[in-house]
This record gives sequence, structure tokens and C-alpha cells, in this order.
Amino acid sequence: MISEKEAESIAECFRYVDQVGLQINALLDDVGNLLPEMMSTLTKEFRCVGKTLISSRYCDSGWVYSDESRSVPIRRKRTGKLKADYYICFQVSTVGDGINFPNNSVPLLHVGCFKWPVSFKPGEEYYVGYPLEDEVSFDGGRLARWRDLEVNSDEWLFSLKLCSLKDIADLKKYVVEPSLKLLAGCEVAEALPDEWLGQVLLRQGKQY
Amino acid sequence: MLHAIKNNKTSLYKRYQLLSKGDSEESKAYDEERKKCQEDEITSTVFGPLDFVPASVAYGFWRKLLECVGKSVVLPLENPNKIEMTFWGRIFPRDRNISSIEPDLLVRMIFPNEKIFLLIVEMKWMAELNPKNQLQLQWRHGLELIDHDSALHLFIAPNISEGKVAIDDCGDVWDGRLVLIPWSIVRSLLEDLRKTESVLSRWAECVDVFLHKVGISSFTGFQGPKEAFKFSAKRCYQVEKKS
Repeated sequence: MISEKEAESIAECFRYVDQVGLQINALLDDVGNLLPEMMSTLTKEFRCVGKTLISSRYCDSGWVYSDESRSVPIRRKRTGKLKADYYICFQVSTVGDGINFPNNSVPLLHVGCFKWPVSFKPGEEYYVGYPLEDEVSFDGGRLARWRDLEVNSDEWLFSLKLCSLKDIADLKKYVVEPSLKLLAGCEVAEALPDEWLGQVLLRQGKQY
Repeated sequence: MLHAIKNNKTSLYKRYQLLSKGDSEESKAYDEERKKCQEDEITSTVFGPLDFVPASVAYGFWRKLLECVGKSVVLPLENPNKIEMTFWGRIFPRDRNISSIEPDLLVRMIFPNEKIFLLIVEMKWMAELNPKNQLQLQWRHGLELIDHDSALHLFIAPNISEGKVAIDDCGDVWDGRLVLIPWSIVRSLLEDLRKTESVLSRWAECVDVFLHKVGISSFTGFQGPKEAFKFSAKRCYQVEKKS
């Protein structure tokens, strides 16, 4: 049997998880608002085309959220299409296959440009989970890339240690700005500089 | 209602909580049902009290809000003599074939030189713009009431991307006068206002608590559990000491 103090710590842990969850929601809502705001100044080629999509997932036991995401639909300005070309996706993973890769044991924020929005809906799953698919290549060790020149498709992903982010200024500098720079065609070395804290090396070694 | 929410005397606010509910069909149906009425209730709960305060006080709030998004320069510096707030006021377009429009709030400010300034305010909570060109219609027909230079259009939403899409879709008919304001910015302003000696500080406190309870907040970083456990240890010690 556990002591009264240990039992109290259970309540404390749940309260703590609740507080962390609120910060995760605030972080994702803020990046969802910053992206359209900063888009027009950092890339002239793309524009937002619809409402931000939300998807989330519980951990296997169903007790707490393991992943929470926002996907912002965008398309090239010059195309006359109404549907999105890509989605800029922000996925926070705190436990499970969203963080399970060698040498990592901390919560991550995944920032990706994908053909589909992140979805955890059974049967329609499309999310960042490890191990990554085999066809992936790595740029600078920190940008996972799926390029298909035949269909002019370029999907990418970089990840940050969630708790390295401290405030909205960090969200602008380390999350939104690099994603828009990559969208505008910047090199990885410029969009995701070496010295940045919180960068996750998806593969060891530089390959610029 | 704001006092009841602040003092934990009601749980009615839970119907407005902006929490993701996963992807289950059940939760989606629930969300659709509650979206219908919540926006008008929130508009009234949050901004209704501004209808009861002197014009200079209400003007101070709108100026500060626009300051937060860098748009206060378009407002006159002097206080208005009068502010008329019309909730869900209907605007009937000159073209009779077009049905009337109903912005959530019209704030008509009348200044000593008889100049009038109009804020057209549309608020969103979880529902989407309906019809898709709702903002364009509001601006186009709102300008039948007043000239372009004496009006601003405010879009307040948890996520402002719909407003950005509206601007991109029509080549910015607003010419920079559609102001996109996330609810988190409104809350940041209220957090500041509640610390002041302003007439609005009590209102700001109540609305700040309400917005916090329904899930509006800005990212301020993560804290380790140590702080929480330190607090807990202190409290345990006090309880033990008493016994």
C-alpha cells in the first residue's frame, strides 16, 4: 500500500500533466496564428487556404493525450486550385512512437510540410512516428525529406525538443520562421543553423 | 454570470471550453451542437459590460486592444462624447436583392467634432465563417453606413487563419483595415488591465478568469514539476504541523 504522501503525489502528477497540456495547446494555437501572420513577409509564393485542422491522440491506455497537432492548409499562389497543395503541420508528441527514436526520451515538437494534414483517426492515420519510412533522405542530419521530382513534390520534417521553447519569441524564431524559410526554398544550413538549441538530429552527421 | 464563473459558483462555462476532443464521431456531433449558440453568448458575456460604462472608459479599452495589434493610430486621440454598442445589429444593403447582414457588434463612436468612427466586430469561437465570404459582405455593406477611412473591421477568433484567407481571397478589399485579433491577445490585454487602477480592472479580472477557464492562453513556456512539488511539500508540512 502506498503512503498518504505518495498518494498525494499522484494527484500532483495529474495536475502537472494538466498544466503541461494547457501550455501545449497554447503553443500550438500560437504557432497556428503566427504562421499566416508571418507568411506574407517570408514567402510570396504560398498562401493559407482554409481553417487550421486539429487532430489528437490518447496514449494506449486512453488516460492522457500522447499527441496533439495543428495542420495549416496552404497552396501556391499561382495555381488556380482551391484545395491545398501542402499542410504545414505542428505535432507535439509527449510519449509513444512520436518520440521513440534512438537517444531520445524527451517530448518533441515536429514541424513538417506534408501532402496531407496530420490525422490520428483510425484508418486514416498520417502522423510523425518513428521509425520514419525507408524512402526518406536526410539533409544536414536534421531535416528529413521526401522528394519526388516526377510529381514535383517536396515534403520535409524537422523536430525540436519541446521544452527548449520558452515563449512566443522562440516560437517565431525556431518554429515558424524556419518552416517558412524552408517553404521559400532556403538551404537547411540557413533555415536551421547549427547553433540552435533544441534541434533534434534525426540522423548523425552533416550532409549539406 | 462573470462573477459566478470567477467564484466557481457555476460550471456553465464548460460548454465553451476549447479543448480538443480527439477524432471520435461522438465528439464531433457534440461540438456541432454546441457551436450554434456559444458565439453569441460569449460575445455578450465578454463585451456586454462595456455597454454600461462611460464612453471614455470603453474607448480606452478599444484603443488599447488596437494598440496591441499596431492599429490604434487610425483612431482619434481625443475621447468620444458617446459610444453606441449594437449587438447583432442588422445592416440592410442598398441592393434589396441582397439579404441583410448581422455583425456580432457595431461600435459607433461619436466625437466632439461630430465625426463618427465605426468598428465592425465579428467574433468566432469554434464555428467557421458562414457564408465563406461573411467578412467581405460585412465590410462591403458596412461601408454603406460610413466612409472607408472612418471604419475598422475586427475579426476576433481563437485562430485567425480564416481572416487571412479572406484577405488573400479578395486581394484585400479592406486595404489594411481588417484587423485580425486572436483571443489570446484579448486575454493578454485583460491580464495587464486587471493590474491597473482602471475602472475596467474588475471587469478585466472576471473576463480574464473566464477566458482562462475556457482554454484561451498564450504560450509562456514549460516549468518543471519541482515548483508544484515544492508547493505540495510545504502544504503537507503545514497540515502535519497543525495535526
